[in-house]
Amino acid sequence: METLVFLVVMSFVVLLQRSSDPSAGVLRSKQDSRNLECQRISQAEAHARHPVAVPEPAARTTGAVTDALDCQRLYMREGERPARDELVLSSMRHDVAELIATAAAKIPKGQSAVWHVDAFYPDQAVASKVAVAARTQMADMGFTVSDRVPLLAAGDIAVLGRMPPQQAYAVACSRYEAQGLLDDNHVFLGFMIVDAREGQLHAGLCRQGQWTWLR
Amino acid sequence: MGNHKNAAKPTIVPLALLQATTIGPSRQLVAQPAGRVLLALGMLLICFLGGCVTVYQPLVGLQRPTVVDPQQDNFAGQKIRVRCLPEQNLNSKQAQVLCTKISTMFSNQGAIVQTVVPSERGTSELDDTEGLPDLTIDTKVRLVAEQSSVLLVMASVWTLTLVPQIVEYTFDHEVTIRDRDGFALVTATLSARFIRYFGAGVWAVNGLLDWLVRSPDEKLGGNVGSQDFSRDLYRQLSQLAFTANMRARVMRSFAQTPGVQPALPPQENP
Repeated sequence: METLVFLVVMSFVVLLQRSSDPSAGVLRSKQDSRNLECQRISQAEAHARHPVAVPEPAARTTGAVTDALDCQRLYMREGERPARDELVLSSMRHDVAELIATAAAKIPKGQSAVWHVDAFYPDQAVASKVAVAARTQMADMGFTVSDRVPLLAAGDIAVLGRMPPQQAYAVACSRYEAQGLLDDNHVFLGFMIVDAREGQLHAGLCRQGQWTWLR
Repeated sequence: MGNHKNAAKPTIVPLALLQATTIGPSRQLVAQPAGRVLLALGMLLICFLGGCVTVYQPLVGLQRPTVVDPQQDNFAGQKIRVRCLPEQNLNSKQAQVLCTKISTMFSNQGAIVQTVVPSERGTSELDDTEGLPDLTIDTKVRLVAEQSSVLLVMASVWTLTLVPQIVEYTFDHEVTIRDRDGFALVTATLSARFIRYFGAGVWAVNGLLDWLVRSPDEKLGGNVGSQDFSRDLYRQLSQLAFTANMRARVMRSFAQTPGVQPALPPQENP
């Protein structure tokens, strides 16, 4: 009998020791586990991030490598917003910065430009977030950013709406120029997705009536 | 956090990846040293006698949401070359198996797939040499962590596996996708962690929970870990390839590749 009790206690001790493990198990569901974003990092890095929880690596090691599993709870749980929105928004800051840098490189040095920025995305709320994020980032970086977006006539929009995206943006750009919506020192930077199945932003630059795809 | 053996040592052959996609999680091969083979045989024996449960946990990259549906024709007419590069933890045969699985997945999505497995001698085996591919997908698998506890093994043996042995592995699946000019379009690291419990106690408790408590999506026993991993890996590879494909098309301003007529659904235009 004592042996059985001992075995059961031993099992519980092991179970308790595993309770902090982020993987699915007796105490954690698969769904909970998937709502964590975990990565393996070195003990030194883990100590720098969480000095209280992770001790400093020993100065003298015995050759054994130590590491840690660093987990953060996802800001939005799995399934709380559409997958495409999640993909676009989770990498928006990085993507927008990269695309702004590429766009800025297209303007010849010494030439000033007023930037008009807009985003084209099926969900208007997400489109606004992207456009505002880009404008804010550009203003922070010292660009002259206009809060005005060039708008085409209803007839133009109706025609453009029937074109595939690869043509529509180029035609819209030439219409901006033709209608005098963008003069020579005004440029338009557009962020968009081209295919409904992708989760990344592309961008194009309209300058002097010429549309250039950036990425 | 815990100690683990040096990941650079070529000790483990078994690829959780391959196990997950081909073999069951309880079948494990261990490398050449005799001690390791004996240990593996011992573990296999325990699996048969006591039962194993392998839990899969997606780490960085693998738990991201995906938009692409791998059941659809996402790469119709595209030429994709898949290169599975053998590493310390992946020999040529295993790389070939992995490549075949990935190739089948892309073929099912309408792509014309070539597979390349560079041999350990440096030469490469190419299934099909016709034309330059639109995309080249390089995959490499690395074992980045392996953890086990000798104390726990002893406790497990002493308690007739009521206390489970626990072994865990973390694999990084590095993916690089290039266009026909060799320009890197997408690079990503997909990490997966597998925790293998050996023991009658854990097997029985898990079986009971699966049977009585957990919903079908939450079950952990049987081959579920392998299936979940395969599903995540295929979805992520499909999404990465699709992203790379779109990026390549945008970067060449949608100039058509001869022979390929990809259909673009209408989008919201300016």
